[in-house]
Amino acid sequence: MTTANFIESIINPVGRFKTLDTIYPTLDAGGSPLFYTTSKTIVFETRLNERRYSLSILTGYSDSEQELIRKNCLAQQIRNIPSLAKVRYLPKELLVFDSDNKPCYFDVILQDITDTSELHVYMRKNLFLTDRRPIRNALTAITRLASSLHDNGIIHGAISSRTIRLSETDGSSAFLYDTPLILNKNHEKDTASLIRMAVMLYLAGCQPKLSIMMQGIDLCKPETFSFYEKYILAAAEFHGVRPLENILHALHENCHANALTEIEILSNTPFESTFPLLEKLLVECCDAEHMEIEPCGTYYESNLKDINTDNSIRVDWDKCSFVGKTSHNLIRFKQGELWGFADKHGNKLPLNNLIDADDFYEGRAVVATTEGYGLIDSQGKYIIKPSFEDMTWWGKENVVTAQVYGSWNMLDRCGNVISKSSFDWMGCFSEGLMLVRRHNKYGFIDKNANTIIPIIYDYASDFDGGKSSVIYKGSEYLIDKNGTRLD
Amino acid sequence: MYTAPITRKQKAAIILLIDQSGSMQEIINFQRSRMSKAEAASYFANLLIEELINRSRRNDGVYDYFDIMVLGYHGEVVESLISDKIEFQPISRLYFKVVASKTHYIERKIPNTDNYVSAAVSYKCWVTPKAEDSTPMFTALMQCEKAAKRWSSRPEHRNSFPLLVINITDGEASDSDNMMLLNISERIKSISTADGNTLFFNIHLATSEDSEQIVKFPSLSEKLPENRLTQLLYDMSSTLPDCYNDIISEIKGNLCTPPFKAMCYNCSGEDLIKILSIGSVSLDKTI
Repeated sequence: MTTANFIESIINPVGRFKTLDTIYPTLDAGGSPLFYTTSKTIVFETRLNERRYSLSILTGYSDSEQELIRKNCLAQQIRNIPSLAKVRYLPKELLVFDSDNKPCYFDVILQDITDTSELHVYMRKNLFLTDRRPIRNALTAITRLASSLHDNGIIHGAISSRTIRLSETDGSSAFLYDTPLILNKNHEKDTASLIRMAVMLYLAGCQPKLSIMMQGIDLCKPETFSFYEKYILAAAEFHGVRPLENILHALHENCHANALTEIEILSNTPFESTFPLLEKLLVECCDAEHMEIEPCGTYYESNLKDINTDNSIRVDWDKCSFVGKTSHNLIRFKQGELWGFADKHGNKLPLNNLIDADDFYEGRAVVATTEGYGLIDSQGKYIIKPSFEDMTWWGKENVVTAQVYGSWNMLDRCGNVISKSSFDWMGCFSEGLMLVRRHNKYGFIDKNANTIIPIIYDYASDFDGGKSSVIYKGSEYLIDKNGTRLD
Repeated sequence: MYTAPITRKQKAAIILLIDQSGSMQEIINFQRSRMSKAEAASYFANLLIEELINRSRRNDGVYDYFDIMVLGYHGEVVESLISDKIEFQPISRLYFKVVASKTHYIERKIPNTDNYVSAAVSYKCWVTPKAEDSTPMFTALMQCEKAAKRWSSRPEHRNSFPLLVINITDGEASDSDNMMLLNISERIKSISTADGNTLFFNIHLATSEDSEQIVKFPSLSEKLPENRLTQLLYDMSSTLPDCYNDIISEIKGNLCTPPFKAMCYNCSGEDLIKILSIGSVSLDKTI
């Protein structure tokens, strides 16, 4: 499956969704769907019943991972935590055709985009007129974590960098929603604490956090990863945010005093390292999937030794009266009265009774038998049977001129006639044009056999420096490549 | 080896070489359609570019996970098909480049029903088909070697996923013999980052009469089509590292023994894209 296969289904939703009958994609100005990818999902922005949803197609998860995600989504729905997005896991929802036209069904997660801005709503209510730096630091940390989770294919449900726009390091761009609100540069300790709390609550209130850890651990190989040790460490790290859950609980219960005590604790906690163990864990999980490989050796040397084992088809170069240069790895030779082609090891092309042969150019060569001239490919097969009275291969232009019963025609490299009518005579290409004669009049055609300069002249020379000398109705003059008279 | 995650700070690079010689004018069966080899090659290139762009799309834009170079070769010319100069382009630049797009319509049968639906499929055309003159494959590979060395030796790419070189051709080099091609292929394959050697893929577009036959990533013992050029391209191609074994076994769908060669005969492009997913787990910590 390529992303193009998924885009096709989203752009043409009719008949492609099992239950989401009326869903349609949000398109950009160029008519392309808005989407982004992670290593294991493609996430489209869609609309359903006039609401915005992100539609995550699970493209790279194993069955067991999908089952875990499904359970997480279900648990998230049941918990109905306000700071979390509403998600629906829809198994075998989307029909996608692969490049062989084979239908496949994919599980999707439908997530209400509007709900994911809860953090911003919270901040809007509580944190206006604050110093922007701690917010930026905090949100940067979240976004990093979100990105790390996404890139490892872990669907978090609550954390998405989509919900938070990252500011540039130079501070040129602020946040997606809150720019006008984050104006005051005064740094206040309590505000910073609140921000930390908001951020940590956002994380702590997410879908069962230990499940996330388990999910990460499932991805790695038991023999290369110390499951229990890391699990305990990670769990310990998450225990570090236990006070946050207490704060959340206290706030919900309107116990502000308790909440403020916890906030005080948190305000003394350095925030820079969000979840270093988690990130380390993810990196290690990823690394554990890779294996060392042996560098490949000099395999082709041995192949070369085996090339020429059958001596009966070899050419004895000493008996050849002519041995040409190598062209397309083939050497033209003459042995007795007959011509042939062989590679440098002397292996002959399977051609018999050639009374004439030209060198190969761009995979084709003209040869002659007693039957006539023909065109061969570099495997020695006839592309044009040897039945013509004369023939020239114009390799650069990729065409053949051939004569039969006195008439000349132009053919392509596969032997298809491309000239609309035949000529009495055909010259050679000069500066892209071929001099031809029909009914004793001369003119020029191009490599597609189109007439470029009408066949009306009593005489014409090849082009040289963009000029040809012609005689027309008794007067001789020069013409250019458009047929325009120059003097 | 071959485990480096692809991030914005640790990009991957792909060099696509496209044979544009006259022989690419020949018509073949490709993707259930009749088209010239040149059209098939450009379709392949456009599909690959689009896929790389799509995979680099994050929610706030296209991240530069990939550098890409597309070289066309014909006559005495080796030229970049996506920029004025022969140089790598960050993938985001291709995303923003204004190019023509084509739309075609296909019919899909909805499974377990008698219903057919029509689907519009659009694709962008960064690379247009061309077929003329001879095949300077050796010269193109020399350019490729130069670019690959330059890219791999840059400090920021020292730990990157190794460079991928993909050569799409019908195998008729006009400026060299087999030994020269094998030698330069070996040189290209020896260019490395800390994560491994350059992987050299060859996509052989078959001649008309053989074009029904498809060979994907043959194993070392697998029988190839009886075609001297196929054997040459097979010898030029990398032996794929073990991390590709599972996905290739899945693609081939039959009992096959690794290791596999980085070579396809009439491959559609999607299969190559599938195996490119190896190493593209992006652990982006740059933000």
